[in-house]
Amino acid sequence: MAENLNTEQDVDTYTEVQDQENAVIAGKYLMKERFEIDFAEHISWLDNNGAKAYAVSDRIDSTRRLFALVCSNETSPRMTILPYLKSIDNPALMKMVEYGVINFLPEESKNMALIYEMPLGGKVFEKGISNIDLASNNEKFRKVALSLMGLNDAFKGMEMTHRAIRADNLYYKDAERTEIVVGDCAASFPAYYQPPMFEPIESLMADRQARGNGTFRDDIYSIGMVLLCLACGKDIGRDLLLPQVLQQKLSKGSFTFVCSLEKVPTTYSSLFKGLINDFADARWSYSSVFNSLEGKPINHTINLAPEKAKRALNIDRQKVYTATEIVYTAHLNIDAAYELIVQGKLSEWIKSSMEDEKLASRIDALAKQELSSGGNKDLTVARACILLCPNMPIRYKGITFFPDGIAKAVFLQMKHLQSVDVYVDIFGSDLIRLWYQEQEDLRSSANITDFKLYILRREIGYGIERIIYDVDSDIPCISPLFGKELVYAPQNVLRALDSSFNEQDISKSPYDRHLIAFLRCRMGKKIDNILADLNSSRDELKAAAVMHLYTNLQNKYGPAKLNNLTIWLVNFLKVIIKVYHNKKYQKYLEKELVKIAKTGKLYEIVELLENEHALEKDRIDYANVLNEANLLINEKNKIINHTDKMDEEAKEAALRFASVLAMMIMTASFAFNLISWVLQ
Amino acid sequence: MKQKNKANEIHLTDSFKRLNWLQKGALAFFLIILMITTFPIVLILMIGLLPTITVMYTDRRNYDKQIIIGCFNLAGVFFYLFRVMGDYAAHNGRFDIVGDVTMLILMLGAAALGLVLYNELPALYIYFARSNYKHRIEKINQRLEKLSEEWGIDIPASNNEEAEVKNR
Repeated sequence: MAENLNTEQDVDTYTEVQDQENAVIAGKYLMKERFEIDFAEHISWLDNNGAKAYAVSDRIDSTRRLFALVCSNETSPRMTILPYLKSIDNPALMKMVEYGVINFLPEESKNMALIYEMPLGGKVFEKGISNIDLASNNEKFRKVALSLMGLNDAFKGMEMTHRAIRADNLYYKDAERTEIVVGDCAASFPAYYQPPMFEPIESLMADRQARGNGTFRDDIYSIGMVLLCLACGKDIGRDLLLPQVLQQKLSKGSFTFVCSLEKVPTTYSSLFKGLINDFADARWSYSSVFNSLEGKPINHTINLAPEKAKRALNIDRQKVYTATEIVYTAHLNIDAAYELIVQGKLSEWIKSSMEDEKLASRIDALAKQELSSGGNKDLTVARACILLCPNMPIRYKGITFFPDGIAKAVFLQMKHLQSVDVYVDIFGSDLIRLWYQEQEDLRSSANITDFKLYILRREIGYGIERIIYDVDSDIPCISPLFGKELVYAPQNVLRALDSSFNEQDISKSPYDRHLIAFLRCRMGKKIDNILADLNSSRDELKAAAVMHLYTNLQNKYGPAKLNNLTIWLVNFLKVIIKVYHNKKYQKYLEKELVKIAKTGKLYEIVELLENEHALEKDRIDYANVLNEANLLINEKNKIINHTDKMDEEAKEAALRFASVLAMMIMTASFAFNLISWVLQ
Repeated sequence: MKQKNKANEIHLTDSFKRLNWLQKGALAFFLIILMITTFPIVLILMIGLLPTITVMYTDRRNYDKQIIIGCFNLAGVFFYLFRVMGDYAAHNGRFDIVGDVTMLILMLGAAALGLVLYNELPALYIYFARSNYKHRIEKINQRLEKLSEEWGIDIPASNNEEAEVKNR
């Protein structure tokens, strides 16, 4: 009882918090009792990374100029880095003040809102043209370059990447336009909105949703391009399309390609070469940039692009000279590349042109393995490409991805209700494991070996859904049960189900594969027993599992009242009522459940349906009733099946009776007549 | 069953055969004397017990029939027999009583009553027994139906068999 009381108190506390959070006042949303987001005041020039910007007023400090980026639900914000971004106070980064899920009134949906300090000086690049002259102002250029490199180091220190450093994401922090800051990086997938000019080759080769978090070296490349744009005073290659940029970067190298587009200031030529180097490992660090800007000598030489082989390799009549080009061309010509691999031409070329015996023998081994097993061209080419160029993304059946970005690609695919069969094949193969094996400074997640197992197990709580939520903590649960609600954590699950009640068909189950996989990933092994019950063939066990899961969630996270969800659950839990045999008790339970539905407290359902005493009594009574019914049926059958015998018995009894009667009458007659005779 | 009945049968002829000729002659002599001395009684018995004698001859193994008809027959005969015994002593062996139709009806009617009882009482018993079974089955069905309604148990259908019971 005391435990229940505590639970109720906890739940009530959550309700208060939730009620406060849900404050919507005259078209404005009050976030965390402090920040008033005015949806009527859209600040379009601050729209960024697919998010829309709205004016924000701070109720505590009204002098503070803030704006909110309301993230689109089309993609997902980078949830895992938000707490860090809020804590960072870097002069080169737009200050994030707060973040949280809000009611986005214009779209009547729940969205993530990121509140930033307003850049008072506006954007650095307006319509692709810079409004600052850094080329002639060495000191200012130096300050900007070092602050950006400092920002990169700060991110690196927290094992984060920005992946949105580009010309149109630069702002003046102050009205005097003395400080430049980089804008938001968390409103969408990493590098999802990056123009092709600002991304290194390997990132460009990946599908934009599957670029992954990347490394700090990717940010250095972007910083290099931003500095180049600042130095040139324009957003270079703004209108160029990705295939064109990629082709040019591959064939010429990034720096040479940029030089072909714009005249690069010679003063900083070496700096730009160091920053937008196509060799990720050779990109300059903060100290190299500092030394270069200070005019100090740089110790290492700058290799701008991979050295080309003397002899070209022909892939489908295209001549390629570098491993990167081979990978790129092979991705576009799978059949031709496959032939080269299995015929041993690729390994021969590697031996003769790249002079890498070890790699050639591995490609040979792959070809032999393929010849013996026979089959999947895409898989063989993908494996060969990983061996050939490990820093490039994996490509399989038209999908190019970095392993840390594949979950987001699957997320988008599922969100658009498109087939994820290819992704299932990928997780069922060893491609991701092989890719991580080839990386020198990247470690795979511990459960990568479980992917195959998850794919093979089709039970609820496993499958591809489990993988995406397991490998990527950024993505919200995309269960259709949530409607327009946004669920990033188990805390929001019940609230979202309760809110989306009107959009749902309550005759269906209040859970699905996504929801359970999401909860398993976020709550861990403690719900494994729930998974076991959910995969049972018995409906009442499934219902009981869901009931316990949701009750635990409500007890732990609230809210105190879940009127809609309770109605849904009451409808769903009717199978548990049928566990009780007594029909009268079943009707009683149904009536009680209707009453509980009005209170919205799930633990009351558990208390009602899982009453040990009532269950035991029902069980014993039912056993007695079965026994009685069997006896009655036996008796009935005996009567029905043995009528002839019983007739015979009746006949015998009748004759016995008649005999006794006859003897008695005879005796009576004898006695009467004897007495009469004697008396005469 | 038949063999057992045969074994239990009393074979008077066999017993009679076991006697020697002297014993047989003495017995015959004794019976003749007895019949001559109690002739009116023997005559009444022979006439009055005619139905019983007939049944004993026609349904030798139907002991129930023999007992019922015999006992009723005897009950009727006793009225006449004791009267004859009284009259015999008073009127020194008058035989006119043999011509009393009332007494004949009484003796033979009692046997007829026994026959009616033998024939109809089993049918009556079966009728009541069947109505009792039917009533019991109805009670069982009602109880099972109630249990089914209250507990949702599946009762195996036996409608055809029930119909058989009703049709009988």
